[in-house]
Amino acid sequence: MEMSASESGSAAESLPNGAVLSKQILWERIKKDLVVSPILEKSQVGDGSVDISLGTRFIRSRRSKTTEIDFPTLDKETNRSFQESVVVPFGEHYILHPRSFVLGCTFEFIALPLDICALVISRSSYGRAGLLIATAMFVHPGWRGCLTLELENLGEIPIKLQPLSTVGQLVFLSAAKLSEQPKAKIIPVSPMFTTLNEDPRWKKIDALKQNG
Amino acid sequence: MQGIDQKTYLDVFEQKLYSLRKLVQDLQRGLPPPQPEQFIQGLNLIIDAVETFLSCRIASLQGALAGNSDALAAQIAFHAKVALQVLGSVHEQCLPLLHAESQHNEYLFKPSIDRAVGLFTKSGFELTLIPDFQYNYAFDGKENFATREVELLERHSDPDTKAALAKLRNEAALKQWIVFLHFPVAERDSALKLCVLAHELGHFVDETNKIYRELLPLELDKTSFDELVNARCNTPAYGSAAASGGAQLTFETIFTRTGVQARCYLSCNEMLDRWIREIIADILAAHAIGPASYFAFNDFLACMGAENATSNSHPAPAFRLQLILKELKDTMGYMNSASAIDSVLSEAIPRVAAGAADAKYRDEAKVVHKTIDRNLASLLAKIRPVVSEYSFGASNYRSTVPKILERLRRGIAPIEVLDEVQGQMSAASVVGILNAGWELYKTDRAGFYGKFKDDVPELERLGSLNHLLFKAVEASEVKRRWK
Amino acid sequence: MIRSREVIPTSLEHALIANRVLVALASGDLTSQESQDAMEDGLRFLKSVLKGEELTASRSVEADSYKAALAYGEGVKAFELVEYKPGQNENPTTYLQALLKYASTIREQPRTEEAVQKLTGFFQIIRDLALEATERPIETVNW
Repeated sequence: MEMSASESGSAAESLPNGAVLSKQILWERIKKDLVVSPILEKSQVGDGSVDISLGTRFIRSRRSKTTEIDFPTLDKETNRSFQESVVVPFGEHYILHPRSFVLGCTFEFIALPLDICALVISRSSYGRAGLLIATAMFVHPGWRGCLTLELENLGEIPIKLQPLSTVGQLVFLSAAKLSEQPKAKIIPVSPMFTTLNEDPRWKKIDALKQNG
Repeated sequence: MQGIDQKTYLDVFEQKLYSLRKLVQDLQRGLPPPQPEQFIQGLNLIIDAVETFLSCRIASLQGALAGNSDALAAQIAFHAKVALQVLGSVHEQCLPLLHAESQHNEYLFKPSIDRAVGLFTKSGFELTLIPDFQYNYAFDGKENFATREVELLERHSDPDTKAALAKLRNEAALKQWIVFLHFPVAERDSALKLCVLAHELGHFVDETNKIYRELLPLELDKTSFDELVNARCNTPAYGSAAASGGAQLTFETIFTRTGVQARCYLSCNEMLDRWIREIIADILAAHAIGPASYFAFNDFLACMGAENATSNSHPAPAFRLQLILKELKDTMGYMNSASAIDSVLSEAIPRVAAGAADAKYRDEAKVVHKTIDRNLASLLAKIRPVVSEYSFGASNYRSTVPKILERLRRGIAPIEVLDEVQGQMSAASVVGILNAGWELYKTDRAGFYGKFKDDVPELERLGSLNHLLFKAVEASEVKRRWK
Repeated sequence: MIRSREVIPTSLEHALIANRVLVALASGDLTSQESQDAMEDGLRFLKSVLKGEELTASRSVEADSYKAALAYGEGVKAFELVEYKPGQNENPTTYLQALLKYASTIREQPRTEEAVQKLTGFFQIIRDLALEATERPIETVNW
């Protein structure tokens, strides 16, 4: 059923916070200020959600001389000593071995307006084959970029991962509108290495140790 | 007379052959899919052909020169030297390309390049991007790679050798063109700077359409050519001082004037040939990607720290920048409005004109520059028709770039834009994406940088801009091709 | 920038032509197919040399003039090494045209010793020069 612009506009505005957006409202917002790009098939957009697919860039772990992961001191150099970037072109695949872990990202570029947030839900069909995709990932209003996905093979058989395969969904919810666009550290288009070492909390924890 | 016996030549040939084959196999093993199968097949064909050439020629010579061992030894040595030189060329020129191919997966904008080339040529081709440690962009195109080399060896063989080589050649099925586009590895993360690749693609379009042939023949400028020959003839010959009291020897007393003239003609010929092709590529790139070609080239020259000087292979940089700007203005309709991009381009004109007027030309460069200058209008008139259908003129710019730029300003990868006629999102044009990137960089960098936290270094913000452009080019290509 | 070095450069091809001509001349038999093909290629090379001379004199740059210019350069170098005497015989044209005539008529009988000698001397130098020719640099910049 087609809604008029004013009808759909007022329907969106009248949604309470945390309400899942309908397909019609999603399409209206996609044409206005919600970005999930590119949408290759109209069927990607459903009630409340948009299917997302796997991108071409991955970060995988490798054996190295690093003896432990100590988050406060995990700088860029150490990160790269046990993780490396890999590009898998379209039409090729990445093999995820049993009990292996790899970071991927969404093919789609996402930009949320100030009054919409999202949740990443993995596709159950993959889950049944043993592939775990980032659980309950919350995407804040105003966020922009390609989402990093944590992929793990919990099964006993290697899994072929192909760029552009649909691996999950983004469920969109209305949110209390932010007053301004949050500033970013980066606008990611590929999976991100952890930046946990930048958490200012480590220094405070350290301070406790010294006083103890 | 080198004093190296034929047995040594043959032994080292065998060893070189073995190590090259092994090297090709090892390099191939390290390549990710998709492999450059055409190039590898061509390499193996040349190596096999050289081996066949030498062994068959030796067999034939042993029959023909059975009674003359000195002549036979000399001929075997000669053929071995030829074969070793060819293998040396393979080692020096081809294997580094194979080695560089190990990173080709990184360049996901390659499908866009393949599609762009397909608009201008119907010839089959295999194209690879090569990150180079020389700070330069280059087009390296091999037409009829390997089959041409084998045919050449056939032409200089006896009937039995010819037949063996022809058999090898006929079993191969190689594409007409194998192309390598080199770029400085330091610029691999800059979509803005990599716009210079449009110029290198211009060379490919030129080669496949043989545009440069349409521009010839040209007559070298007489006055400057005669000046050059006279100057060379009167140049003192180094290390050749006359006997005491005698006049300093000049080249004219060692070589003939005709010989000096021949050398001057050869170098002018080569330089003119190269400069014309550079001009062709500059004009083709300007038409293909519009203002982005000027901006990227301008930045590249700045990056090189290049003086406004000519070289064997290129006209003076300012001359080329002036040519590109004139083409944008006079033929493509830019700089005729008060738009932001037109203002930036217009501001460059007097500066570039002053640079072009200041360029110094001497020797061969003077001859070639005068020749080109005299014929420039007719040269340009012959180049333009090739790209007129695809020219990214000012009206194309106005209808394409603003919507893309709007997305980019918001920090969104401009993969799609709303097609108001169709009422749906359609893939953004690659040329539009690149120009939007340059317009943002040149006119509203601060606005884009303002989207980042204060502690983010400026160059990382620029990095984000480039990442958005790369993402847009790659993903819009998928959108375009998705059925 | 164009970077298209040939795996088998033109100068190496000239060396191959010159060698075949020398083998044909040394064999004494110019009636075999191989010898005839070799002399044909030698004749073509000499014509290319003279074409290069013509282009140099007219300063005309054509699509394939570089190869002719290269051949002419090699031909002039050969003249300078074999025939040239300062202050006496300075113009290579006579020498080159004589070689062309020898190459055109050498298959006819009787074959003159002079023709064989002149052609042998010329192509020996061409072969040696061409084989030793190094790759020209791809890019040199005048600052």
